[in-house]
Formats: sequence, structure tokens, C-alpha cells
Amino acid sequence: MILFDSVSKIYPSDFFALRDINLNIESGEFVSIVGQSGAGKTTVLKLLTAEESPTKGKVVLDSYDINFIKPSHLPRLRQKIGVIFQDFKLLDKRTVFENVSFALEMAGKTNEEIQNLIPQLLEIVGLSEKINNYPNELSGGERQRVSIARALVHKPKILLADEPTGNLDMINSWDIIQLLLKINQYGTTVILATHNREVINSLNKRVITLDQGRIIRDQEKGRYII
Amino acid sequence: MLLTNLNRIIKYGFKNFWRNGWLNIATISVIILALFMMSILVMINQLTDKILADIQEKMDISVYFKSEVVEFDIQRIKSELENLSQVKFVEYVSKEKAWEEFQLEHKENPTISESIAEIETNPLYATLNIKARQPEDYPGVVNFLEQDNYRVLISKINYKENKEQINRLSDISRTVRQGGIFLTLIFCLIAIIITFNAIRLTMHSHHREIEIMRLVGANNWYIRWPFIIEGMLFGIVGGIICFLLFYSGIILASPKISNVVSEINLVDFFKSNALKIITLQILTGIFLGTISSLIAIRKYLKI
Repeated sequence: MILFDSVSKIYPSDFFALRDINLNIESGEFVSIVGQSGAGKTTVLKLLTAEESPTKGKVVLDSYDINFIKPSHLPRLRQKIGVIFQDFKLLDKRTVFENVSFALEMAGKTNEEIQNLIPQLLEIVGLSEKINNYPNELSGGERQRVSIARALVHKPKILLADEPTGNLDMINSWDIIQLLLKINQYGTTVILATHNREVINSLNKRVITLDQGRIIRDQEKGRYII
Repeated sequence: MLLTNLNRIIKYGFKNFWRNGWLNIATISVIILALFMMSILVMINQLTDKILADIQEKMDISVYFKSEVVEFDIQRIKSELENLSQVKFVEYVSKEKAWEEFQLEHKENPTISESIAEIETNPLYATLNIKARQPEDYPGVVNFLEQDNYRVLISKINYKENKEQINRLSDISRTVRQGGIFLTLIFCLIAIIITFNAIRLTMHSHHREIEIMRLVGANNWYIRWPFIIEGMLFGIVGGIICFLLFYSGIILASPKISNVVSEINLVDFFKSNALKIITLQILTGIFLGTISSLIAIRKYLKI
């Protein structure tokens, strides 16, 4: 489903964000990418959403070759991928409902469909009661759930999580990780980039460790070791 | 689906427009200023054209014949003139008719009427009034009349006095027009740059929204259209306000201008062209707003 073939990403001024990455992720996997800041975790995710293109090598996602994707195909690619971020990226002036419906509107769903879908999505993330609240009335964990609900609107095949627990305390972090596991159980491939040691060590899932742009370890049931 | 999208695009366009109060007022003011200056330039151009056309309309050549010339000769010259391609029409005023008209005209003035009564013979000349098709044609007509066989019959050709005036006015009009086009172009450019910057500012306040729109897979036109509509709204509101300001400005300025140049009635001119002016102002406003929005949003669509 996801293939990195000898991928390097070099930013201007010769900074190697990734060096010769070979990687294969199957549909339905739960993969953690770990490493310190600057190890290249975010670059891996940005290559998948085609926000960046590889300097060398080949990135394939589903049937899309990221090197040669046409700008007009970008929306379709991105609708297959849900993304969540450390800073949630919610719109402060819109309610929980509006933040999620926004993404549905982009996909051209009718108002009826939106009215039906949003309660279901908020139910999955456990926020049914906060439907009319604004983001600044929610805790960090709740905000991240809103962004997860938004990421799920297209029923994505892949969910990319870029340090989703970076701004959260331990308890909230756990809630979010549990939610990601639940989404993975429904069949969505989850790729989690993090440097949260406790989270990784308790997951018991595949762990890919990056250091200075290289893969130094790729273990089926891995732990956070650097 | 198309209709739903269209609906949303328009809705978001209007929402964006209402949201940033102060920023929008600044943007609209810039558009108004640009439109206002352009309108003044266009107005000045139109007015000089109109004055020139009026004067050209009044322009003609009067040929005064010596008193011994008989009507037969004058009629012959008249028909020869009428055969010239440059000549639009020729009017013959006989000595007697000229005298009658002169007396009629000055009936009210006692000094002149008394003088007229004292003169026994008719002192006036028979005249041909000639109108050419184009102002440039007059010199040709004058040359024709200055041939020797005609020249001996003619006492005076009344053309030269007007000529200089007309040339001067043509020169002024040409300068105004060229300068006006140049200024209008420069102003258009400045207006686009300033409007562009103002719109870029409002757009910056939406950059987070645009980023999220792209990440959830909205296509570029879906993102672009609300901003284009916002730009159009800037233009429409700017155009309407500019029109109202312009109208009030003209009502205030018109009496002062009429004092200096009595032929110009700005209010009448404005009223008879009001529809044209407001259409032009709004269209220019829409053009400014839309182009600026399109350029400004490019930066945020690169991701």
C-alpha cells in the first residue's frame, strides 16, 4: 500500500532530511515512526500527503506515484488520507460541528448527509455532547478528538498522526492512542510519528526508528530505543 | 452537487467579506481612491472632447464678396463649392438679406437703429457661409477660394481668426488625452498593487483555513472562489461608494466650473452619462478586486 524505494529528501543548503529510505507498509498496519526532533519523521508524512516530493527515489501510495502526481489529482489523494497534528489545526471561530462539517463541505456532501454523518463521527471520538462548543472551550485531548473526527470524514484508508500527543498530558495521550487503535481495528492504516517513549513501549506494534534521516531499526513488535 | 458547491462558495465569499471589519474598510477605501482618480481623468477627457466637438460644430468660413459682384457670379461660385468633396453645405446670404437681418437684430439698440436710419445705402456684403465636413478640410476650401479668378471677387475670407483658436484647442485636447491615458495606466498599476496588498492582508487572516482546506482535500478552485467573490464584493461596494462620492463632488464643483467656463454643465453631463459611469466604475472595481485576489491567493495554494 505504501512504498518508499531508496528515497532521499534534500532541502536547499544541502540538508539531508532523509537518506536512502526503503520502506513497505501494508494495508491495515499500525506503524510508529520514532526518533528525535529533526530525525525526519515529519518529512516522511509530508511525502505521503505530497506536500513535498522526494529528491531521489520513489514514493508510491496506493496507485499514486508521488513523484509524478498531477496537481489536479492532489485533492483525490488527500481525501484518501486523514491527517492529525500536534497543534490540532482547528478553526477557533467555528464550533466543533462546523470544524468537522467544513471538511465534508469540501468534499461536496449535501447538507443532509452532513447532518447525518457528523453525529456518527463525533460518537466515534466520544464528543457527542460538545457538538456546539468552540475549540477554546475544550481540553487539549478533546481538541485532538475533533481533529480526528475531521480526519475521518472521508473514511480514509490511511491516518497520519504527526505527534498527536505532543501537547497532551499522559491521560489524554492515552485516550488519543486508544482512539487510534480503535480506528486501526476498523481497517484504517495508521502511521504515528512520535517521540513519546511510554506510548511506544506499551503499544507492542511495529516501530521504525529514524536517526538523522536514516532508518536505524525496523522491528515488528518494537520498543523505543535510542 | 454542483448547486450545493455553488451555494457554499457564495456563502463563504459573503462570510469572508463580513468578517474582517476594519481590514475590509481599508481595502475598500483603497479601491474607492483608485476608482475616484480614474473617474476624474476619464471625465476630463470626455469633457475636452465634448468642448472641442461643440466648437468644431460652430466653425465655418464666411466669404464676403465685393459690392460690385453680381449674384450670378456668386451663385456660380456657390455651385462650384458644392461640388467639392470637402464641403458639407454652402449658404448664400444676399446683401439685402444680410441688411434685413442686421436691422432686425439691432432693433432694440437705439444707437445702432439711429445710425442705420442715417445710412442710405446698404453697407453690407453678400456672403457665402461654408461648412466643411471635417475641421482639416477648411484649409483646402480656403485655398480653392484663393485662386486668382475668385480672389478678385472676394473682399474678405473670415477663417484665420478661428483657425488659431481651433488649433490651440486641438493641441490642448491631445495633450490632455495623452497625459490622461498615461496617468490612467499608472493609476491602474498603482491601484492593482495597493489593492493586491490590502487583499493579501485579508487573505493572510485566512491562511490557516486555506491550509486546512488543502489538507482535507479541497480542490483549488473550491478554495479560490470564495476569495474571488470577496474580491468582487470589494469592487462592487467600492464602485457604488465611489459613484456616490463622485456625484456629490460634481454637484459641489459644478457651479464653480460653470462660472469659469459657461459652456460646461457638469451635472447635466454627469446625469446623461450616469449609467455609463456607474457601470464603468463597478466593472473596474470588480476587475481590480478579482485580479488582486487571484494573484494574492496563489501564494497560499502552493502546498
